[in-house]
Parts: sequence; C-alpha cells; structure tokens
Amino acid sequence: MSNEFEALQNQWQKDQNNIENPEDNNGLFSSIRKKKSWSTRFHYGNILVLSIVLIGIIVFFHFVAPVRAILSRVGVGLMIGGLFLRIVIEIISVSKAKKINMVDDALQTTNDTITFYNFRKTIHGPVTLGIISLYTIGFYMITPEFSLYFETWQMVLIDVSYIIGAIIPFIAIRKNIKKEIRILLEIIELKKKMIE
Amino acid sequence: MSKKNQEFFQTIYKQCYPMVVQMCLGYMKGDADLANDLTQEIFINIWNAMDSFKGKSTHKTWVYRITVNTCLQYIRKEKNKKKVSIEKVEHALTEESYEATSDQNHSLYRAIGTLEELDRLLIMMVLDGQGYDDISEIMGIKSTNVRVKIHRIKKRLKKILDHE
Repeated sequence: MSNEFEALQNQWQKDQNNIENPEDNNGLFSSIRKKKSWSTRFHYGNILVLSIVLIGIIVFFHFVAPVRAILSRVGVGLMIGGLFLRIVIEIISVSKAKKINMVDDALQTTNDTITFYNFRKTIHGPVTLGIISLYTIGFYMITPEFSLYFETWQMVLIDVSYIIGAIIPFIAIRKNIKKEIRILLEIIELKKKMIE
Repeated sequence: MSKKNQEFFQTIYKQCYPMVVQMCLGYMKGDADLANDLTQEIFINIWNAMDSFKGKSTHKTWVYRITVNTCLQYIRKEKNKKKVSIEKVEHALTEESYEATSDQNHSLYRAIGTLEELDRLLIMMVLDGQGYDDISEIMGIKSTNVRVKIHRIKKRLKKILDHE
C-alpha cells in the first residue's frame, strides 16, 4: 500500500507543478477588492437597512405625526427602542463574526464558529421574538391616538398592513433560524469528527 | 496594505497558488467553478490576515491553516446556493483553467470527492507531502490522532480506487 500511495503522491505533486499561476495579477487584485466590498456590504447591509428604517420612524414621529398622548409616546419609545436594540445586536453579531480567525488552527476556528452560531441561535430566538413583540406592542399603543385622526376603514387598513408586513420578516427569520441551526449542528458534528 | 505586505502577498500567491487551486479542486469534487470561487475566497482571507503573520510557522503552514478553515466554512455557506455533485467532475476537469490536470488524476479527484470533507482535506495535505506534525499544527489535533485518521483514510481511498 505504501508504494501505491507514494505513486499517488508523485502523481498529485506532478499535477500541481502543471498548474500555472494566472499571469494577470491585476485581475486577481480587482476581483479580491470586488469580493471584499461585496462581503462588507453583506455584513453591514442589515445594519444599514435597519438604521434607515429607524431614522424614517424618528423623522415620521417627530415631523409628520408627533403623537401627544402618553400611551402613544410610550408606544413610539418601544418601537424605536426595539429597533435600536436590534441594530446594536446586529453590530455585536458582525463583530463576533469578524473574531472568527482563519489563521487559528482548524479546531480553534471550529470552536469559535460554534460559539458564534450559538450566539446567533440565541438572538434569533428569544431576543428577536422579544424585540418584535416590543415593536408590535408599541405599534398598537399608538393606534388609539391615530384613530382620532383616521377613518375606521383607514385604521383597519393600517392594522392589517402591519400584520401582513410582520408575517414577511417572521418567515424570513424562521428560514434563517433553520439554516443557522443546521450549520451549527454540522459544525458540532465536524468538531466531533476532528477530535474522535 | 503596506508595500511590504503587498510584496509578501505576491510571493505567497506565486508560491502557493497551485497548491491552493489543487486543494480546492479536490475539496469541491472537481467542480472548477466552485474551486475557482473558493480559491478567491482563500486569497481574500490571506490578504485580510497579512498583518497577523508573525513567522512562528512557515508561510506554507500558515496558508494551509487559512485554506483548511476557509474550505470548512465555505461549503456550509455554499450548500444553500448550489449542490456540489460528483457528476460534475468530468465536466469540471475539461475546463480550460484546469487543463493541466492529468487523466490519472481524474479518478483520484473522483475518489477524494467521495471521502468526508475533513478526510478530503487531510489526505490532500498528505498527498502534498505535509508531515504529521505539520498537519497536527494546522488542524489543532494531536499528532497521534492525525496518524490514526490518515491510516484509515488511506485504506478507504485505496478501496475506492481499487473499485474503479
């Protein structure tokens, strides 16, 4: 078996010598830059979208529809607070992801990845549900004051559109949870195989 | 990035590119597109980590660590986008960029592709001539454990190649 394996080794190494470096290094650098900027956009995209929504809500309640009732003001506070908390968590998540060091040995990186996905599991579960609940309670706390200025059918439309609007992120979050739990289980399995 | 690091990156790129490509090709079961994408991902991670190279290990071991870690992370990210199938091997190996790959290696890539992902990486490092101690340093597991694993993988690989 030893000789046969040596032959395979020779064949492998010979083949490697035949792989040529691309002559165009500029192409490589531009493609690396492109990929890096895509990856940055991917990491910070969520934060950017959430921040725009947050600014939109603040502007809306400050300039367009400044609510007066205490109940409504608490509601606005819950909505803004919930969203702000979500942004902070997203920033923490990105910084934790960046801490997974590709230079460490594979076992260490696997352990760090498990820690990261455990964190994601927690934020996707109780924390995100808590934030969505805060946001929803806040929203419905505003509706009594809004109903003073809107017709009943308009209020129904607002309430229904909120529910529909909430279902879409709920489905997206659920899909993400499933995906990340699958990844977590796979990595735990990988670690077992590494150390067994 | 400093000029010194850029030059170091160029050196690494020049010296390690064939090794990284071959490893990616074996890991991705011969799929040239995925191997190409993975190779780029590895060099991005190398680029990002340039400042952290302290010279405690050889630069080849350092590149291996990044390669192994990127491969293990990459397949999970990509699993949702595309399914990697062994049937693609024949097609992939006819791609222009990998024309250098010999006919004999078609079956070797195919055989490696049937192994589990961790085993694929381990056996490719052995094929590339890495010693057990180096592999142990790259993987973060004991050298004796590496030895046992590789013995098992070699047996499995032989069985697969004999059946072809």
